[in-house]
Amino acid sequence: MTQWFNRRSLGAGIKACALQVSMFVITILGLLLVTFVIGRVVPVDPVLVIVGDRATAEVYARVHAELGLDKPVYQQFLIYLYKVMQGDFGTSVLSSQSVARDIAAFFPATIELAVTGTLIGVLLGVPLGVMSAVRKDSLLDQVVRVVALVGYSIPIFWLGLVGLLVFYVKLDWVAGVGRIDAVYEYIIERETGFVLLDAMLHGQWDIFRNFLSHLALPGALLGYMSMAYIIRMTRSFMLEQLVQEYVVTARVKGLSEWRIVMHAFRNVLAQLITVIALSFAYLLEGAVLTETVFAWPGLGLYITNSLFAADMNAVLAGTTVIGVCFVLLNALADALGRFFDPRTRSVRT
Amino acid sequence: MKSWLLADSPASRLQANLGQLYLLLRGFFRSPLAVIGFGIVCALLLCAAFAPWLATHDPYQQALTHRLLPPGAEHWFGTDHLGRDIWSRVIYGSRMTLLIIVMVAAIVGPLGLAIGIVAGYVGGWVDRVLMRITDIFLAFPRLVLALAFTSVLQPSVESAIIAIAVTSWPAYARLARAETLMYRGSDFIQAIELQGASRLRVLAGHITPLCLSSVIVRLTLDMAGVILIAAGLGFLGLGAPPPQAEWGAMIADGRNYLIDSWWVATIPGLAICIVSLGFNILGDGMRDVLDPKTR
Amino acid sequence: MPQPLLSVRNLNVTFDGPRGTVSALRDVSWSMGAEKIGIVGESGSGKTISSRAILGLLRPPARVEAEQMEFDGIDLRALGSRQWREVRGRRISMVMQDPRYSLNPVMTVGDQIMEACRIHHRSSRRDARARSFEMLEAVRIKDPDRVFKAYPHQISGGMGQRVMIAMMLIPEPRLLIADEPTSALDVTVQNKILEVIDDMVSRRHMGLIFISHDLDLVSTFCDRILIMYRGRIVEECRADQLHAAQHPYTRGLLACAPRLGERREQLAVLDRQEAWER
Repeated sequence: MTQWFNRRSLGAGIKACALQVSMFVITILGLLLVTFVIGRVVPVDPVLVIVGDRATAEVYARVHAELGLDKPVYQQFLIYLYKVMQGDFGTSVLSSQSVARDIAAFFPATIELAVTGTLIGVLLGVPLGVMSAVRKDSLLDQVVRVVALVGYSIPIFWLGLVGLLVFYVKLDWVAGVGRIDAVYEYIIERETGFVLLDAMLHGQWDIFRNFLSHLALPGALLGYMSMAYIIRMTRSFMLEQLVQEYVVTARVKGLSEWRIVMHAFRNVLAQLITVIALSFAYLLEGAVLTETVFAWPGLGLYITNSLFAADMNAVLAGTTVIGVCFVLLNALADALGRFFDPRTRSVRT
Repeated sequence: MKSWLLADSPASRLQANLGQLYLLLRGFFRSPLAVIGFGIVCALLLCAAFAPWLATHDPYQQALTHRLLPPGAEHWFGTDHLGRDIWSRVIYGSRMTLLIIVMVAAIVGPLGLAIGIVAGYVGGWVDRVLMRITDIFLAFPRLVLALAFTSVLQPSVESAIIAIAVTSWPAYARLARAETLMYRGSDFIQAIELQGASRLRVLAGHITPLCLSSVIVRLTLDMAGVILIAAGLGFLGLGAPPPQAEWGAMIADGRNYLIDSWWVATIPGLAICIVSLGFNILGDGMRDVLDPKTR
Repeated sequence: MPQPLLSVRNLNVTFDGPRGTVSALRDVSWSMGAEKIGIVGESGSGKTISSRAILGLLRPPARVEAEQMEFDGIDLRALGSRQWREVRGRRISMVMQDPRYSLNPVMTVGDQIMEACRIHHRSSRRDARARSFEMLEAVRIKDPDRVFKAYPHQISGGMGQRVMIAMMLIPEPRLLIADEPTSALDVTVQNKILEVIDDMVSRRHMGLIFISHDLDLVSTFCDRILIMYRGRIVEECRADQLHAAQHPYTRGLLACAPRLGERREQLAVLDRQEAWER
């Protein structure tokens, strides 16, 4: 710990930090550039979408100027950047509301799914991955590997459909599509945007239970996908460590099997944190398909609905938001990984 | 023959290479799982190649009197909501899947390899610039960007392929660069350079073959993911437009009839699962043989 | 002849591989008391495997068989994992070659040493800390405070080996195996480490098995020497009797090493005989 406050290492630390931050900013800019370009490539005329195809030339020209389409492209990009920085993504054609407001309303639902999935993935995946590596080639190992392999190869939207068919239609163990039953839609008081928190805050326990019943299936499926990935990575990392010399040293010291495994696990932690952050990012991405299947009112569903309505503003905004989260998580994963590895954390004195 | 291949001191380069290949293949086929993966991929290739002979019906032939028939003697996998035979559509769908995989691999492999090797070997600002670009693309979410991309262009197979390829190449560039850096400082490369080999010769003739095996393993493993993304795009209606037989789109079709006619959506999904699994197992098997320390 | 500390008789280690069974150790026997034994051999002679066999570190596909393998009255062949935990560290310890790899890179040196102490002596944190500092001073580390809080990558190779020695001797074992402890170090540091080992072993009347490929080094350091070749012990003699060695392999090794002041046109080369393997 005392290494941190060493003058020299602080300077080097700040420099490294600055480099990371600048990389992050450049990546975000790159992402925005890509979404901007995609937006410009639209074969659909954005002006026509707004004014309709019976508008007069004047109206057309007016809206054209309003949208800033007469300015040179790089200026348009700068204007776009400026707007995004302020959170202005334009207006949704579908809802006639600001896209930013729409996204803010839909985003928490996606977070609910991603958090649930990642939690399950970590709580189940890490121990299974570790055990699988420690008891390599045993029956447990084989079974875990196959389970993970299958989870890695299944299309999430298909699994969702099959899951609904089996667990909802046939077995009636969980609630069906949607986040909460329609009847609760109007009763729930929205404060944080997260149903669990809102329900708890207001003591609405029936809504709480109903939500959990709806969350069970998509959460479990996403959890399975996350678990599959985490098991694979954890197992791989652990195997790498278990053949290292320091593990032999630990054994020679007379440590118990558990302690020896912990010795190895400590070395895996940095990489594992990165993997967990990435897993969360993948789940955010996969939400697009999951939400479509489960009619879960999150960002993914918002994007797909906007897609079908040719509401490009919304699609690109949604893409940008998910993209930014993705980049953020990647950067966070990087930073955390660095933090947990003492070799990169401190500077050689 | 076997002893000739396994000889400790091979007399010619050919003998040495064949001997290596023999050992690799032997190691590979020792694992039953790897054999299964290999078998699945072969099955895919055969299905795609012999589709007209394997299919029992015309995959585009609608027969509205035969809608939603369950799997039976006449229609092995049943029929969909337009009376089309699902077995035949699944068989023809393999062509679409194979097309997407091959095209993505053909774009992503060489591109990523080239960028990575050049960045790693040349170093300096070229390396820095290329790696920054790579890092930027690497941080983009694949599915979502592919979605945005294909939604903007006309939904078609080509746009799906390009969208997936554009977001997939960075991983290979990174991989190739890491391998190149590892080999760049090695003695045998320096020896070749001292002999006067041009940069191009060193890169193309020596470093590329060394990086090739990890890139191929990575490609195989990645193809499993590409299949899933392509299916996802198809599910959302962004892949090949109807009436093309594409597995993801077939699932979307069957979604509305899920409760009573489960086979319409379930069976194409199983096909996706099996093929993706096959590539995963194959890739794992290849990696075990080519790079045993991560086993 | 005092009661031997370690007795090994006809130790055989085989590996089942894809190309058949490979014999790594054949009929290896020796016994020792609280003295310094050197095991010398080239790579593949089996010297490291012998030490791993003694500590029960060889796992399938290795097969370990011995007529006798006894340490201080304990039969090493029949130990369960719980019993091994009593033996390893507490009674027999091992120092390995390269501290860059044999120390856990994400734990501080102090934590690793204290762990060894607390496991075997069940001491409190404060006790363990005090003992660790004592050991660090005993192995002649001049700045124990800094080293204690440091991570392995922040200390030099020589210091790392001292830390290893401290860590392995803190539970007070009776036998120390040193597997090429100086091979990864600079020549200037090697002697210092040997001094430390010598000091610790003598003071505590411990047995030492010193494994090396360096015949010269071992002959100046140890009491008795075992020469291994291809999994067999081909010669066993006292260190001061080395010049009178019988086996052609040993004589060959001795002849290979150039000596100051001798007049030779060509250096001798080892001419390996098949007969030596039997």
